[in-house]
Amino acid sequence: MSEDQNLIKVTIDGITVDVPEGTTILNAARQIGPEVAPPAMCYYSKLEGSGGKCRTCLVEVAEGSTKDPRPMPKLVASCRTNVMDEWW
Amino acid sequence: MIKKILLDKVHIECIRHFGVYRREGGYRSVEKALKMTPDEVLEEVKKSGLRGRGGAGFPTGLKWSFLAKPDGVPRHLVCNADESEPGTFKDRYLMEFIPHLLIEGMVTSSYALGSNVSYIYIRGEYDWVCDILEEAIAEAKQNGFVGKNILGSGFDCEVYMHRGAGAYICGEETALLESLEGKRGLPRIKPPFPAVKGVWDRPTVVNNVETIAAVVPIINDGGDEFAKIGVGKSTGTKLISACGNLNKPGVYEIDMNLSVEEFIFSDEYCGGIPNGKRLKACIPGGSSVPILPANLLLKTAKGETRLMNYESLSDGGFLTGSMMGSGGFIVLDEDQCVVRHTLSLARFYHHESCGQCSPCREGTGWLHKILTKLETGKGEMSDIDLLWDVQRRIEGNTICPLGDAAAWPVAAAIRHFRDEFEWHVTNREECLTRNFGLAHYADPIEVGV
Repeated sequence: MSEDQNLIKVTIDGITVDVPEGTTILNAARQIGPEVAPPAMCYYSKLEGSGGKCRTCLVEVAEGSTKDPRPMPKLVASCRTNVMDEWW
Repeated sequence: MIKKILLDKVHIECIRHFGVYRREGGYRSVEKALKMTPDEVLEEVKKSGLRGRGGAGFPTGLKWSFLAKPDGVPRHLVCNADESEPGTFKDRYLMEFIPHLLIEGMVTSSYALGSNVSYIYIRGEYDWVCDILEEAIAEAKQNGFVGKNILGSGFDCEVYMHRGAGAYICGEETALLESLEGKRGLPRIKPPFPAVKGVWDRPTVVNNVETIAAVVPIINDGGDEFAKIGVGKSTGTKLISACGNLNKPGVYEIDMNLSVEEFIFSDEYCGGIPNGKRLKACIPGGSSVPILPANLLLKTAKGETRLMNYESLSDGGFLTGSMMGSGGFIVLDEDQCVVRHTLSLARFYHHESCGQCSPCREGTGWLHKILTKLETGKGEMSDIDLLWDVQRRIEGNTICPLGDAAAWPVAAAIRHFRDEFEWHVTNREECLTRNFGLAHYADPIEVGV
C-alpha cells in the first residue's frame, strides 16, 4: 500500500491522499478539506488523550488492512483511530 | 437427567471447605495441569470449544491465544465476577456454594496463561460471597494450591479478591480493568485490546466466573470429552438462572441440546407457569438481550424447535431471534405489561450509563423519559416512532456494549409488541388503573417466515 516507508495512501470519499504513518483518520480527512472532514466536538489536537467520547466524528471504515483483522465495514471514532491500524 | 459437570458436587455437605472438596476429587486439575506445559493446557481448552459464558460467547481458547507475550512483562488473569445483569445470578450461586471450583479454575487457567498474580473482581453487593471466596483462597493457600511454588512445580500464583463499588458498567471488561486500577470505571476505547494492553498496560485476559470454572472439567476429563456434551459449536453445559413467572425459579445446569419448551414446562427444570397462566414473553439471556414473544420463543421462524444454545437462540437474527447472553432467563406470563417491563429496563440503563460518550448518555435518558410518558398514560402515537428512532441512534455508535444493551430490549419490545404500546396510547385511563398489558400475545399465533 505505501510507496514510501512513512507515507500511507488512504482514500476518503473517493479522494486519495498520502499521510504519514500514525495520522488519525480525522486529520487525514482534514488535510483533504472541510467538505470531507467529519465534525468533531470533544477532540482537541493539543490535548493529549482527548477525543473518542462525543461520537460525532464516527466514520465507516469500508476496508480493513492486513494489520487489522477486525471485520469491516465498521463504525469507528475517526479522531482516535489511526489510518491503517497497527493495533490489535 | 443430564450429566452435570459444574454443579455435580454442590449438594455435598460442607463442600465449601477445602477438606471436603479435596476428598471429593477437587484440585485434581491443578495437579494434572502442572504436569503438562502451558501450551498443552491451552490446546485442551481450544479442543473443548468452550465459549465465553459472560454474554458474547467468544471462544475462550481463541481469546487466550491472542494474549501477547512480551518478555519481562507480567501477564494477568482477571476473573469477571461483577455479575450485575438484571436476571442473572448463576455466578453468585456457583461462588457461594462451591467456591473452590472457581479457585481451582483460576490456578489452572493462570498456569496456562503464565499469570503469577490473578484477580477476582467481584461486585460490591456480593459482600458475603467475597468473604466465602477469601476464606477459600486462604484455605487453598494453607494447603499449597495457591501461593509460591505450587506443589513443588516452581509455578507461583497469587489470587486476590477485589470488590467493586456497585456499578453495572464495571462488568464491561475494560471498565473493569480501570476500576481494578483504582480509577473511575469508564470503558476504554478499543483497540488496544486487553490482550495487548490490559490492567496496568500489561497483557490481560478477562473471563467470566463460569468460563473459568468450566476449565476444571476440561482439564480433568480432556477437551474432547467436554466437546461431546452439547450440540454444534455450543459445547459443554451452561448454567441458566431462571426467574420471573415460574413455578421453580433457580439456577439449573443444562445440556445445550435442551429445548426451550422443555426447560420452561418440564418438572425437572422450571415446572411451568404458576396459577395456570399462559406464557406471554421471555428474555432468554439476561436483561440486555431482545425480548421474544411466546410463539417465537418455542419455535424459530423456520418452524424448528428452539434449543437452549448460542446458535438456536440467535436464529433469525434480531428480527425473529434473540441471544444466549449471560443465561438470565426471565419469563413473563400473560398478566405482565411489556411497556412497564421495558420501562424498568430503560430506567436501569439510564441510571447505569457511565456518561462517557454522548449517544448512550443522552439516548438512555430519552428512552427512559419517553417510556415513562407512555406508561403513565401521557403518550402520543408519534412517541413510539421517536422511541424507535432514539434506540436506532444508540446501537453500534458507542464505545462499549452498554449502549447496545440499552437499545436492543427497547427495539425488540416495539418490534414484537407494538400493539401493546399503541394500546397504552389509545387507552390512557385504563393503562393507569390496570397494571398489565394485552394478553393476546399468549394465544398461539401461526408463525410465518
